[in-house]
Amino acid sequence: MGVYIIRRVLGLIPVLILVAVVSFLLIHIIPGDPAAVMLGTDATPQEVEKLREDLGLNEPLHVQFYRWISRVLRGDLGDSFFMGRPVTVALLERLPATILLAVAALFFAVLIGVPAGIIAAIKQNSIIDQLVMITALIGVSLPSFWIGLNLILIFSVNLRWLPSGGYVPLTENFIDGLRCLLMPAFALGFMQAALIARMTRSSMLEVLRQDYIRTARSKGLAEQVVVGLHALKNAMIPILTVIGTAFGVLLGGAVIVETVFAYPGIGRLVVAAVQRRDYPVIQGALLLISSIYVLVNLLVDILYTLIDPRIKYN
Amino acid sequence: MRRRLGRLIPLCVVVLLMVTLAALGAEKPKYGGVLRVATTTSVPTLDPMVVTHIATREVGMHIFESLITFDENFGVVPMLAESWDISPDGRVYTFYLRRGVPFHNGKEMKAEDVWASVVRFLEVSPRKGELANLEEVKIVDDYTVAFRLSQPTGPFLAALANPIAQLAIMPREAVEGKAARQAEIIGTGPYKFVEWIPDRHVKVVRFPEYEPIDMPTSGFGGYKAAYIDEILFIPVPEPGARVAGLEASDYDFADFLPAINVPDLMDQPGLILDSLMPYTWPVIYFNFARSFGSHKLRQAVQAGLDLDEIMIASSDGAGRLDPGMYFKEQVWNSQVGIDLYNQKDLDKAKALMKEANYAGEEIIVVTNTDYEYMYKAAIVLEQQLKKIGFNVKLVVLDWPGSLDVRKDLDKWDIFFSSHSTRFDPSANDFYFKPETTFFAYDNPEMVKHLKQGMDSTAFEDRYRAYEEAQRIFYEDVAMIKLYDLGIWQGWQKYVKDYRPWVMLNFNSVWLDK
Amino acid sequence: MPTQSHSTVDAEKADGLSSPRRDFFRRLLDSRLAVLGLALTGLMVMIAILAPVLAPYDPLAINITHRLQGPSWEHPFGTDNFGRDLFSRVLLGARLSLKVGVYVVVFTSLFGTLIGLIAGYYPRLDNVVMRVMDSLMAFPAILLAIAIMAALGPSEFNVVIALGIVYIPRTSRVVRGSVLALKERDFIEAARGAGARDGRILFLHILPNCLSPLIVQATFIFAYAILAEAGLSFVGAGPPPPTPSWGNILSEGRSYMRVAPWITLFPGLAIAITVLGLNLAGDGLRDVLDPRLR
Repeated sequence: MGVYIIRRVLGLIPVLILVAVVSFLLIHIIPGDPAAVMLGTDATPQEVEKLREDLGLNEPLHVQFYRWISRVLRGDLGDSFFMGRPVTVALLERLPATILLAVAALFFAVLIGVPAGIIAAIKQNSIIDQLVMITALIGVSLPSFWIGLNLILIFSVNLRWLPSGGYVPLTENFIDGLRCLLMPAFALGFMQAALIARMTRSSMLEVLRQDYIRTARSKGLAEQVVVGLHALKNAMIPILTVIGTAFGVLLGGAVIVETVFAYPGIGRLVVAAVQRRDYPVIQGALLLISSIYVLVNLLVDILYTLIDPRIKYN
Repeated sequence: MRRRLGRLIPLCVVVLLMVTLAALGAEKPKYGGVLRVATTTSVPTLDPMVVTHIATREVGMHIFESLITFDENFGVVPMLAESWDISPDGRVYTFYLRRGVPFHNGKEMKAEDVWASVVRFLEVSPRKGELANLEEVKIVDDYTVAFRLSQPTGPFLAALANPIAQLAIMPREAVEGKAARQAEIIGTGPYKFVEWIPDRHVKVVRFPEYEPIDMPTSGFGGYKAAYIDEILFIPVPEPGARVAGLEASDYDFADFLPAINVPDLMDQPGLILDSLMPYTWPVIYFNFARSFGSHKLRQAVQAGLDLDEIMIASSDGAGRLDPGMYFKEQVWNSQVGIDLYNQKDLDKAKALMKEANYAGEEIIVVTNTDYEYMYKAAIVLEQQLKKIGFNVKLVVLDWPGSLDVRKDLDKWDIFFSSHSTRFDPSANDFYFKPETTFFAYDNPEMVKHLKQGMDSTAFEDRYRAYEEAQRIFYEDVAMIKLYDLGIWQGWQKYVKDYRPWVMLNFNSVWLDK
Repeated sequence: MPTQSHSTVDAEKADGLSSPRRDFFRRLLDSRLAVLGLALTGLMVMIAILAPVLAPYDPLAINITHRLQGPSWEHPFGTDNFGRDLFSRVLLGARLSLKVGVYVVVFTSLFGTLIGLIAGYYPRLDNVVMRVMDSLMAFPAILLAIAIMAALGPSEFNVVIALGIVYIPRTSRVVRGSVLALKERDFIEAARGAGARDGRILFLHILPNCLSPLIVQATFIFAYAILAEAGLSFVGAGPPPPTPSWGNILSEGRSYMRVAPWITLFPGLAIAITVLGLNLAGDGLRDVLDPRLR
């Protein structure tokens, strides 16, 4: 087990290096000069040139990359051009908000998705099954920002139940924090709920068909025990996979929902940084989110082995 | 009976007194409360000197003050300096500072602080070029500073007063040797900086020791007071979120509301809406290095455009037509060129186009989506140009991307931008001087007038010079001014004494709740 | 046997019956939802193809005096803030949105298949190629697409490339998985034994057997691409206006959502219907082509 984990972690290194190279190259071919953006429309070419020099943008690309990567290896993502402060600090400030949103969305998704999928599987081909599956299909067919905009229209503007956006840390004010979180988490989680429901249903169906379930049933075990203990446990692996992927999708896919709800997460930071050509911030954010994604997937893989010891560590 | 009456009289007096007091109370500002302001964009830094960014200058408006500032008519008035002299040769400006003005750190503002602030401004500010003629800053005594110029300079006072990348007066120790963005955020303004959480808010609180100037309030100048305990500037970039947040009372004030939602919002009893007009003027630049090097072809565009249509679609009703290069509200406004503005003459345009021997060369129109009004104006302009007979290709980028294209004179013909309030006409010089222009404009006569405006100090002389420049602007079709854009702002009824003017300013605003 | 899915029943029934192709269509037709999905998708494709004929107005023609009108006989979907006819714009929008979807599918299928085949067949390349795919997968899809769009500049073609790069790893994984399974099968061994060259084995023997999962995957990528186009347009990184796509009609209409909700309603519905159709079709195809995956 330990060897397996170490091997997997080592396997991440080339992936992360590639991620770093790709983010760096991608960002530096974006047209648009950060210096020109920062100085505004009224800057003279001389001022722009001076700032480019100060920001180190005039050096050859490989020199810039070398400087960036050697700092990254020491855990320093450089300074934001636009905000003039360390990218690490800027990212860490927003990370809690983004993780909170992703966790809340995932919570929604699992809370709705898994039971819906189980019920649909048990009552296969019934009206409930069809209702659940059609709702789930509609769920995966609606753009999240469209859901978000309509939620604001209904719950903030018309009913005035919830704030239209913003973020309050739960530690600061738990109730207000939850109120801010509710709509974005729902808008973000709905599609994943639908995906999880579909996956839960099909893996449950698969398992329920297996011989040992039939045996369990024929032995006269209560239906709840059959479903809960045997079927669900074995259906957990594909469900976990979807949940693991969902977390990654939620972390990065929050961009759009964060924009709709004026939510100060990493996604919005990246969009703003692209608009400002704030290279270090874009690079840092891409690197950070991808690393989290990769780690979460590793965690999911390790969880597999805990749930189902039959899976080999190769 | 008499006894009763005897009791009634004092009662009446008391009631009357209370009514009078209540009436007076309605007028009299109250202290206290928190003001939550939804702004359009995040601050890049609070260091007031180093960026021209709107969010920096709007928050800075509450924290910092300069030696002099602008009143409602954009004339220069005292702020931290109570008065100034100009030597007869126009080369030495001596400023006399107000006494007993404390910084937020408790120290009194003195001449050495002014000196240190100017020295730093000359190192870090993007506007340092405006002080190129400044030869020396001298501390005469604790409350007197003298500036010596190499030659008389028309826009010198405006450069000191300009709130954009402001020459804020800050304590010597807060600025001395501090690189760009590294200054300590300490000023003399009514509000004191507390915290900045990027993309969440900037918090400022009342500075109880604030020392206002004893002059009537006008523009940025005159008496200011800090009535509110705490102001939060909250960036909410999505316009719909600002509207919804204002309606749901998540914000007490919201900036730049979509004009289209204004009628709806006006129906709501708890809200007040007003427009900040003028805010900016959308403009198109011609690239003189390609097809529009032809004067006739530029004139064809000038003749054929229907600016009413462009204005309606682009501003959703928050616009007005005016030919002036400076707003009607500004002393520099002139109506010269009005005959050439908004002609809507399609036949004339077609005739001019023929005279120019236009043979269907591709006209690349570059606009951006970051500024929605520019994008919308471009959509209409594209159709209008097609109607005249141009072969138009519309290129829509984001703002930095479009700036990048603008650098390359082979890649564009018409470029969308906008000009916000210029505090001095000389701010426009760089467009028209051959050494600084980016669209290959070259007209010695224009340069002559601009130089005259720069070198004169008397207002009348300068006005005439810039009026001539505006005449040439229209005759040459150097650019085309489209219209004046206003923006809508909205606030809750209990926010009192807010007046939309040039930019967000909550000094002297108070909350009645 | 009450919990057995009908697709498995079908599969059992189908064993040893008629030609596989007829069988495929019969099973497909048996699934009502799949038929509905294919019909919806087909309808949208027809609309996209016939849009220039069906559209009553020029979708770019501006008429300021008619701006922001609600649905009427004259303008069935109303008009937008420039007075452009929304019905025509949504019809023409189908063209661009579906075009982006189709091209993304073609792009990912071509490159994803090629990469998947190579990675699956040549164990030595597998590690390197799949690491690259893993690192692409590690980027959140929409963020990566935004960054690519920023780098390449806004154009329809670049949207296809951006989304293509984002979705290639998915396709290549599916194909690689099939190849790995197929490689060990007898008929491949037999072909190899008969002296067939790698290219021949890959394209003649292995590829045809990967088609089922590939088609299913393509249907879902089509759906993702349409949603992603809308999302990209929303953050300003979609295909550039003025050519209408559902995404940019939606995105432009969002400032008018309260005074003119029809601007966002109709393209939103169009997206939902199309994606729903594709998802139904995808589910149906999966049931029919690959009952194991159900």
